[in-house]
Amino acid sequence: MLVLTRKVGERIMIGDQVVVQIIGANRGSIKIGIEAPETVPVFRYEVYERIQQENLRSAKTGGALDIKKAALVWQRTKGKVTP
Amino acid sequence: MAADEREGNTVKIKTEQFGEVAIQEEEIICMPGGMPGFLEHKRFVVISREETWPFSVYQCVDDPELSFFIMDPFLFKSDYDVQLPQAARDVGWPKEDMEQIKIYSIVNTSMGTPEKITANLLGPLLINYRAREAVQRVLHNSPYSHRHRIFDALSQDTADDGSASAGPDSGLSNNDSSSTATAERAGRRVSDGDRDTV
Repeated sequence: MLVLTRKVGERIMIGDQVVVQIIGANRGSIKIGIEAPETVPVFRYEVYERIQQENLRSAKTGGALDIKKAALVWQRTKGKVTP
Repeated sequence: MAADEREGNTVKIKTEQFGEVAIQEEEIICMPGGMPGFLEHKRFVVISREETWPFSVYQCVDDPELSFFIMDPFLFKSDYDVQLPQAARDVGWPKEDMEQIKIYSIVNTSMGTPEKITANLLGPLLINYRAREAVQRVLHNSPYSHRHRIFDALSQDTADDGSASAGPDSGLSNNDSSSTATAERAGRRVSDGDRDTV
């Protein structure tokens, strides 16, 4: 991991399209501004981590659940939509 | 042992759910960036069968052991909004492809009983059938939950320990503490260089 120390107002360039600016700092939290093209997603790490964890849990690694049984439960509870 | 054998443009793939399945090469969907947790898994097919409806299998072509159950989220959330036009733009899919883009939720069945199945509304799977490509889109500024119970309209969220959550956060349905939610809103007010992140 590259570690840099920046003062409020200073900026970091990542690649040639992403700019990170320190907007403000206040007692243990800092405000960061990010300029990036729309094609580069930017989000809080814990949100990404949540998706990642959920994918890992959702991936089939041997039948925790009989999906046909789940399908029947759905059809019984919610009815069947003919596409 | 090869994971697939080719005859013309029919490919046989091994699946955990259905054994060996013959698919057309044109059915293979490419995920250029993989998906969070599975960045190197880039080729999938959707296998839909009558007996598993409304669940379909999103099967990795190159790894028989990797598959997900997916479903149409509008079956349980008719007002689900993934901001598709912006998502398509961010991924580089042209307007002409819009009608061929289908939205799916990956469901979590690991809790073992049908009634507890949850759908990841925070990270929908967008499949562009025209371009034969898919992405998992992260709706990080949305109020949606990564664990939306598909069978229960009343208690919408399941906490990470499996317990249902009710109360103030259920409106946000994001399992964030309220301070994080405040940070989310405050974050959007960053002044210089602010842009609407999706």
